[in-house]
Amino acid sequence: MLQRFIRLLHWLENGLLLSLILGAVCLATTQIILRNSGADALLWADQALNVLVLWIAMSGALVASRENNHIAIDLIQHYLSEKWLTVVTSLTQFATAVACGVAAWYGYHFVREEMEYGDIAFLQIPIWLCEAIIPFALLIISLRYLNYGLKSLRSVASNAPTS
Amino acid sequence: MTAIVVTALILLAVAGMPIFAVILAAALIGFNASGIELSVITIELYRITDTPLLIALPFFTLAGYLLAESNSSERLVRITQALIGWMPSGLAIIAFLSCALFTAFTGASGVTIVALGALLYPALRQVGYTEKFSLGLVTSSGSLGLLLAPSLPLILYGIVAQQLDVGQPFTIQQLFLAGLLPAGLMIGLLSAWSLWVNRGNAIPTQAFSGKELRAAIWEARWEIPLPLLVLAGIYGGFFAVSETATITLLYVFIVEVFLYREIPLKNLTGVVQKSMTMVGGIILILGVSLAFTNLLIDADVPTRFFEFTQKYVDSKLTFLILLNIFLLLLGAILDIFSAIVIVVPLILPIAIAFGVDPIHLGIIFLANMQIGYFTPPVGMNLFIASYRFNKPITTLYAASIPFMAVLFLAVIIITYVPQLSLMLAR
Repeated sequence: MLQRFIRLLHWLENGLLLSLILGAVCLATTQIILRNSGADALLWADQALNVLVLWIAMSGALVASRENNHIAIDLIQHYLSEKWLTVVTSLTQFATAVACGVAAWYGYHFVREEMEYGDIAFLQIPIWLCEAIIPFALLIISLRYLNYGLKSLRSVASNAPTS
Repeated sequence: MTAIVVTALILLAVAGMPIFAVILAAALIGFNASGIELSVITIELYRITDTPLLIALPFFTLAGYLLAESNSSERLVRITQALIGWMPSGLAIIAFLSCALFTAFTGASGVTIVALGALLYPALRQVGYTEKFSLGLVTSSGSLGLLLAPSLPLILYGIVAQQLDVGQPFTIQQLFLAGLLPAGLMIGLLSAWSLWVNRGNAIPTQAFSGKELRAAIWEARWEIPLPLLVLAGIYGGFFAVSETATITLLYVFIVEVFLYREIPLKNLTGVVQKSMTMVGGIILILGVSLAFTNLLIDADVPTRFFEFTQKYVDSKLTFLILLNIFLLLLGAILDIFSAIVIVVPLILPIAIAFGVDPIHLGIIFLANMQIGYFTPPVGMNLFIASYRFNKPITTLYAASIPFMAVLFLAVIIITYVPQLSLMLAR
């Protein structure tokens, strides 16, 4: 069940990323054609494009967390023994999970408030919908790093007696 | 208390906690301590959508990844070889030029070493360059071209500096123009050094052949307009930067997928994923840094940092020397994107106060960071090259040092001769 959910989530992330970038390319192209053909450019397009970039960025960050591939300093990785490295890594992973989790929680409440205000970002699209990707992505990233942290801990525990 | 938190976060960062999470944690703790509601993080992250030029980041990156995925690197080397292969040290110069051009498009993400280095290293060895020279060349050239449009770090510097709004405004086009001569200086010095170091080494040159040149041009006929497109679009001012990014991406997509047919449609998801993972990572760091920078401004940190610097640094020259040392060290531990978004907001106001033009500062910043890419012990390109060419990392340290010295000379000239950067831009 969980495996199926995770597969669905990966599929959703990939699909989201691809459709967002396709959408952004189409919108930006339309805008260039309109601007250069003397027609009126779409007034909402620039704002929509920037929101699309935010969504692309957050989805990209989601995929990066899936591959544990976020930009990090790898200074001490080359100097620690495997066991200590796993311990230290699990610490950094838990810290990441906590930071993202806290930000996601407050983000969720913020989006709920925005929903009540019901302001519009562009066309008929409300601002809260544009913002919703932020707590959502942070929550998933938090859960993933929690999972990495637990995995690291487990591998330390299972290796401890032999090393 | 603050000291404990800061130390803990620095330790976590050095231990490999993702940079975005370190900054996020710092911002959360800071805002909480100042009694500000933590939903501010979401507001600040959303503020990214007010950033001009933002669309250029994913579009140029995707275009670069598409180029890297196709055989454009081979065509690039063939055409430069046909053009200048007849010169002494021709292949080394070919390597510098093609790496610089390729990196401008792919943004020094390590792709240059993987795609071009793998092509150039065996070629260099085959014609008789020593192993040490060849390895040093491909490792250090992996970040050459950072100063050329449309390189990602250059755009990112423009975005961050414009967000700060600290007087002396400049356009991204001016920044692109500013990078031309310094990048040329780096390539020129490296080429001159290659000629000198290989002077006693009889390396056969390739006779110039009009036929080969025509064949190479014909093979690369769809890609040759690409640099021209960017040149005309950005340097010529025909298009806005975001428009150039859109057109570049569309053009590269059509050329590589439909005309050369080197990227099957089914591989496209993979390329989008790989490139957008990188863009997502960078923009997330940019977003949390916006929040963190505001926190620092609220706490008067830039002002205090500024006063502190002014107390101990009394001239522009001293400032520049310290800046060089600081940036070289920074480049060795922090990746270029994080370094830009975290450090530029702190040093830009100081630099302006010392009379350094923000455009010049950007060029100095990136030129230093470029060396950081292969500075031992942790320069990213050293590890990529070590992995790609299956050589011990210490061999690569030794091989890169002479190249580092040459580029260091270039950085000194770039830093202390501002006209080099500003001649075309201002």
